[in-house]
Amino acid sequence: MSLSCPNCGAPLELQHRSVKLTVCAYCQTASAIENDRADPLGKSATLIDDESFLRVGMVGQVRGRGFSIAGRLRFEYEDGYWDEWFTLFSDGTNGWIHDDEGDLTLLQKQTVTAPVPAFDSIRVGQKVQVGDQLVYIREKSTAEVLGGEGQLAMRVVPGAPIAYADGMANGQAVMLEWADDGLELCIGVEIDPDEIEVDM
Amino acid sequence: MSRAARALNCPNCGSGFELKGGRKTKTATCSSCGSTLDVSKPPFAVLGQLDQSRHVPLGDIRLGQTATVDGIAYEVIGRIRLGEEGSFWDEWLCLGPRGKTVWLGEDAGRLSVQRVFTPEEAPDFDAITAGPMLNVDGTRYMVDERGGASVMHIEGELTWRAKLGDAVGYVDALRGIERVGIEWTEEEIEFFRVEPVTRKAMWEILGLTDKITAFDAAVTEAAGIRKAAQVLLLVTAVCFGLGVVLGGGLFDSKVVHLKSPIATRGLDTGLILGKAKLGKGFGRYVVEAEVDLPHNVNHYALSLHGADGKTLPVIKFVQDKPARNARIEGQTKFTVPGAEAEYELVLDGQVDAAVTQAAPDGRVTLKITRERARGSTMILVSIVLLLMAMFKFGAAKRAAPTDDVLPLPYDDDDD
Repeated sequence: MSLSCPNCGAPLELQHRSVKLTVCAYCQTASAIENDRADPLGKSATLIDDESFLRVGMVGQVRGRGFSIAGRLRFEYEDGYWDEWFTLFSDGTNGWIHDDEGDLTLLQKQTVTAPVPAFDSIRVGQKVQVGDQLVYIREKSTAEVLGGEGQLAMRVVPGAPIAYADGMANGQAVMLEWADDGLELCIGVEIDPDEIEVDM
Repeated sequence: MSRAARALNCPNCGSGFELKGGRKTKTATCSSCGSTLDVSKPPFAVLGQLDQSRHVPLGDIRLGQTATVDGIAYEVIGRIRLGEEGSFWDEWLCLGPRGKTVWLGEDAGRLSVQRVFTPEEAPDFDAITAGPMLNVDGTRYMVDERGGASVMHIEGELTWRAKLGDAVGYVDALRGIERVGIEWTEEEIEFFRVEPVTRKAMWEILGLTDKITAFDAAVTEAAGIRKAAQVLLLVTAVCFGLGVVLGGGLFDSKVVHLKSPIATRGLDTGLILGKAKLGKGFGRYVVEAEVDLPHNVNHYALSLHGADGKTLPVIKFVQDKPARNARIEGQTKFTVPGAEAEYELVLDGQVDAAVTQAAPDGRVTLKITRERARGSTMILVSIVLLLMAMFKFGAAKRAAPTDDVLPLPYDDDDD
């Protein structure tokens, strides 16, 4: 689907039907995609030019699945930042590559079917029930959306605060994010950067 | 190896430097002014000031070195010192390709390679902070050390925003030679596989070939000294054994003095001069005899007669012609077989019947001494050699290069 940036008019080529937010590559205006329209959300921070080997537009293979990276979100927390690369898979699904200082986790969003403990009640080192999984909490803190690029499957306002907790259950990585528009649960696996084969 | 460097200027002193960790670096110290900087995003904030002359590294790890771990080359880009006053340890951050990290640990001479891992089955926080055991991925580890520490010093680059005084809890646990480390703050908990390494292994990781060469040379030298000590010990054992065989005893004994008149009457039937207790032992006997013979006596012989009928010849003298009051002196050595027993000293002689002139009585003065046994000399020598060997072993131990203190092994059997 092709749209135009509501700020500068540059073309916005949407790569997937699940895209809900896109950042204009020319003027960094973030636009929410709804009903085939692009509504401006505000300027996204220009992300620091970094040396991550992941790129928006990258195509490759990971664990036997073809992928392409459609977008990136950067979250800033007290001790630094991490990136979440919105990834489209060749089997039609989508997910995220969570990149925290070089530690990569391949995640896919899960539907929250049962109540999750409140963020304030969770502590590091604790085991909490999330649905049918007992999750060991490894990290919890607050962050805010610093900015993004490309296209994303979630509507996020730059500067929006989130609370998050990362943990593990049954050998899988579990990530919880409490934001203004609700709770997001992602489950996945940690991967070695060498598992990503880049085609382009 | 590491990511492309990122150049920046210190916001405090203006000095230019490069961040070897690239975007991974969130905290960096300016080597010119000691400022700790938040370099995660411009404008770079000064987090604090450090005295770089304090908290210097104690071992051989330095920033900028290449550390090869698991066949992958990492660059040592940062150091953090954790602890409290008087007790601390250093953790060196090594950055590899594609953002991989590994840590090198130095704790009171104990060196380690530490790899972050995600356990599938982690212990409860209550067990981490208290209790003697930890269960990680189904394996029970014994808690070796647990406590709290704070950041005492930062050098180089770190991948998170760190500042002096940041608090961290830690626990080290072991099982055999396996170790796990856990560090936590209010926001995060991390697990490490801790692999203790020797100094030489660390030099190999860091490619410090000069130190390895010197270490090997010292080991060879110490081995040579130890071998000499072992030879000395062997010679000691041989000398001691010889001493035992030859007979010990450091003191002269069994001195027997006899003075006995000799009467010609009865001489030919064997004259008992006296008795002496003699017996097998260490050494031999020396008999010194001074015999004043009557002039009509020839063919005399001194012998020892034992209770069991054994006869030990001692001195024999044959005089062809009787001589007037001849004096014969002689010395002989003999060994007495068997256990200690009483012997009779018997003088046998032949009186020449042709001599009719009355002869005065003769006299024999006899001294039997036990010769100082050579065996005791050998034992003395062996004692000296033993002392020399012990000295050599001590010298070998001093010459041998020391290695790390490895953790005490914990085994399930210890439960």
